[in-house]
Amino acid sequence: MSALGIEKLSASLKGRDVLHDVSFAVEPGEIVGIIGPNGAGKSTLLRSIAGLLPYTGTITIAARNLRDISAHDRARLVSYLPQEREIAWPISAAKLVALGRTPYLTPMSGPNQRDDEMVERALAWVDATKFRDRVVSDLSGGERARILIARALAQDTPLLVADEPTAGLDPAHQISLMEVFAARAVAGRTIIVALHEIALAARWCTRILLFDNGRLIADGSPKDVLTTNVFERAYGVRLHVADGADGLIVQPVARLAESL
Amino acid sequence: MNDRLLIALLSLIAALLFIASLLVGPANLDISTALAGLFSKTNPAATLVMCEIRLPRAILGFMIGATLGLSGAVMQGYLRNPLADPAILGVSGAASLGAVLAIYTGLSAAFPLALPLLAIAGAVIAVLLLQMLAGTNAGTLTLILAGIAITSLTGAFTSLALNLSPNPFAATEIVFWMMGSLTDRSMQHVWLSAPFILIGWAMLSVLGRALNALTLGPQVASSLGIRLDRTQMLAVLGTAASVGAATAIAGTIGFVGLIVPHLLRPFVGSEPSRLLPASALAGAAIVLAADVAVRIIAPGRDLKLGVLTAIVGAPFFLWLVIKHRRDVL
Repeated sequence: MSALGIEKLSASLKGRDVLHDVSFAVEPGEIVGIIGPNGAGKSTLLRSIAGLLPYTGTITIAARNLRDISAHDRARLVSYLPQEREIAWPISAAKLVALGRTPYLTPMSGPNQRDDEMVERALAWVDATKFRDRVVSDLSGGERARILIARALAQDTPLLVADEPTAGLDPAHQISLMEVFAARAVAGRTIIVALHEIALAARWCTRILLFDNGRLIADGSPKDVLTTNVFERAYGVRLHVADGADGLIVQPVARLAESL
Repeated sequence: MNDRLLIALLSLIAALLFIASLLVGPANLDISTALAGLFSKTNPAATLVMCEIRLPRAILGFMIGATLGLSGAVMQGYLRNPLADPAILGVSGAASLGAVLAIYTGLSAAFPLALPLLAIAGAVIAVLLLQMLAGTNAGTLTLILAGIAITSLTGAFTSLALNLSPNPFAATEIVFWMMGSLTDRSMQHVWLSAPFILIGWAMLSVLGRALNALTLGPQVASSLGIRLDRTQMLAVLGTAASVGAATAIAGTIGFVGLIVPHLLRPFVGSEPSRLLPASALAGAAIVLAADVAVRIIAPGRDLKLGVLTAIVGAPFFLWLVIKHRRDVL
């Protein structure tokens, strides 16, 4: 059973077509990197999967049609981490992470022991236990980003959809976040993550989907997708690729002549 | 602070102020006469003062104060904006216009329920207009400007009604009513407003979790299973029903809904859900205290409650604007 199935998905934003006829399926345990130049439709894809945008075509999650899933059930199947890092009130880090448990709360009772445990685990995964009681407005940008990631992890859904979660993190925390994703994937979770850092996608994703102008133009292992000139053409850059003891290392080095 | 302790403390303060409200007034009853008037029929004059004048006043003070505190906390949480308040955003003004029309056209004299119903209709229109003008994602500046626009518009229509008033006494009466007061309200006012206020409270009080989730913005809230359409409907109708009915009875009592959530946020760690019950109790306490104060400060002069809350509240609003200036501009 696929964790996520997408067939002939199209979506438009404000009358502009952003995604055209996208189809792919993802199996449980995959870490799928969504890459592509700015405006390729990555965020629209992720928001469609999270059930936040109108679309045409079919999205199935755990063999259920997304259109037939209630908001409450959907929140137990998909967690969504947006690019925008909005926090309206100065609540404590632990309280913020606990918001991820909202779908599991019953109307009259507060969080139970399992909810509390999940919050502590999520805080530990992003290395935030030491500032769990600090107010989010007093944290640095990177610390806040990690707390928001922990919120999505605490939701503990089979499918996690994350939009640029590594932006603004220092290298150590970028790597540690990708390690957390890898561990969650080993535990059977499926991760769909949009990334700008090609190097991270190359090293940590089990599969890469490359988008350009709203179309899926390449789908395969990092090595297959990143070492073809399809990638170079989409981004208009030349890549330096090394595949050695440290794994696949990909570094854009120059703009391609025709895009200059 | 522990939630139960905070709620217990605020309940105690509100209860004491409720009793204080029963004990203060021009009739100068001592405590034992007042209690005898309330609970026995041995002193008809005291019974009249207590049951017909002071009890409805205290009950309305509690209900209207709780409404303003609760709706202020809900509006701030729903709009994710610390400067939201029913009066600043024009909801009270629109409700007040509805009430003025009910009084002016004589509808409320023929059909008493017309007063709260028209006020509530005004409040519903104001909240919907506010959402249309500013949306739920608006910045503080847009929101405040939308509030100013609605207040100006409803103010203009209210002025028009006064301007065309055939009878200067009716106009004066309406002007005084609009200043906001609990003087000379009767049990009939309690019965007229209580159903709408209670329905409004019921709608607003279930919003705690949705407001918590909205801390992270509407998209994340939706992904957490919060139904934004239902949240909006409850917030709009709950605010309109309770604030509309409160305004219909007491006129505009401003700034309570703005100040109360700010005073309490440090005690509840800024969590919107924990803010709701505390804001309702603190709102009740503040309006009861202000209503006791107007009777003590100027006995016999009928100092208006809305005037006092505005005199205290407007500088507080200025201070908030200065504090939030960086986000606002």
